[in-house]
Amino acid sequence: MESDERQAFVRFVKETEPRLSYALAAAYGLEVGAEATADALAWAWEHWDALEQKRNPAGYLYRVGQSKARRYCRPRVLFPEVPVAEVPSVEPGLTKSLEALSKNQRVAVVLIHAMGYSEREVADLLGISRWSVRTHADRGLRRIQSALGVSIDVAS
Amino acid sequence: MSLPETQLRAYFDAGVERITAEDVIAGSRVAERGMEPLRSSRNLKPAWAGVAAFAVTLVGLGGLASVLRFAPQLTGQTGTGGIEIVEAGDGTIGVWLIAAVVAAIAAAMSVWLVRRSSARAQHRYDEELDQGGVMVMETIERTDVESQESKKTAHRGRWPIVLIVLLALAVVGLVAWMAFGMRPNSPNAAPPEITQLIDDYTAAWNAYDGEALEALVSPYYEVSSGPGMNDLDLDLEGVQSSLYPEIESWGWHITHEGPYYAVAGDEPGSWLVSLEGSVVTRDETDHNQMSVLKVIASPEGKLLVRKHLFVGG
Repeated sequence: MESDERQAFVRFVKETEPRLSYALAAAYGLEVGAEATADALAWAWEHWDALEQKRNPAGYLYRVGQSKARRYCRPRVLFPEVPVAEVPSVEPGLTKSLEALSKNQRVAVVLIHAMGYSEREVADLLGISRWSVRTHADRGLRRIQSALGVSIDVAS
Repeated sequence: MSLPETQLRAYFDAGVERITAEDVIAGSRVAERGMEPLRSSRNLKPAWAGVAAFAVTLVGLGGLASVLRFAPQLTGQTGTGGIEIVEAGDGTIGVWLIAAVVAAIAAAMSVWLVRRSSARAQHRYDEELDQGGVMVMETIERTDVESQESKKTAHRGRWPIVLIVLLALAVVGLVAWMAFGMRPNSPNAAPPEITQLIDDYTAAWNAYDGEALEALVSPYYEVSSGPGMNDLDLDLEGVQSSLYPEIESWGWHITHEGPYYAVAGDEPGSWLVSLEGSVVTRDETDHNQMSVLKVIASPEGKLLVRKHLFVGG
């Protein structure tokens, strides 16, 4: 019985964790996002019976992650610069342009345009309509493009 | 240059810390054994501390006022407390706000100071880690220059603490003063019905409203020893025919600043009420005069002013 629960939880984490991790990292920064994801998943394991019954467990868990994130100090820099050697393709201004977006815009841009999730998946996670998600994603991307002065992939 | 989408993917893939179900389950076992991983928990922000202190001070003072207002009824003593709080109430709202603002500033500064010192310690620790060094204790040889600089730093660092202490003392002083002002300090404070009668009576005097006054005084109403006035022994007609022409021509105006005190009179159902801090204005000149009113109860039980004595002046 316990093994079944464990297997179900492992499946759930495998399916939900990437979306949740990227969403909370985009919303609250890399550091707090990681802590909030860990806290939310720990909560999920602790309340697995209840969570399993929810209609939208991923969306519910995102809300839990939001509550957990509020317990942490907001760092001065949400998205620290990464060394060029680690990620050579990232422009120095990317993190600043990302911070300038609203929370929902960041989540929508990262999940849809960067990670390739569907509007439906993001809408379920954020608890907003698909139209809102599309608007957030498009506006957010345009602002980043404008800040970086780039719109075509010249590398490719 | 790559597309922003590509850059974002690379950045988040490199930066986001992933977690597995095994990590979660292992973490829950750690928590079950009473071990919590170290986390940078959220600290109280100065603004929130200020808001909280403001709210707590206002609520606390309001609670104190409420307790004092209802205390006489709870203890069975009549006529204490409530009236004096009401009397003091005209000027206390501003002081309440001042106390709350001072408390808010003190709380916000305290939190800011604590956060600043924590941040500095964390910064020093981070710097040590960045330099790959190990924090060790060592003896530092201090030159004269270093000594002066460190003294200056220490001196600057004391000012916020001194300011916080002063603000805290100001809060304590304000609250103590307000609490003393609200405290029922006399067992003889006038009951509410007498206070209402005096207020209506004074308003009728100041408006030269004979009809209103007639409704508040007894048939053998007397006024004694007014400034520049002979004793008047008036019946009801005399109030309008003799008293009002006289006080209106002189521009009489009465104000009562102090609380009202009442003691039982020699006749059953009668009260002697003293009005401290009364000022009679006549011919645009202020006369500090205490008034004493004799209040009696009519056969119907209505309180009426029987006699008004001006004392001093």
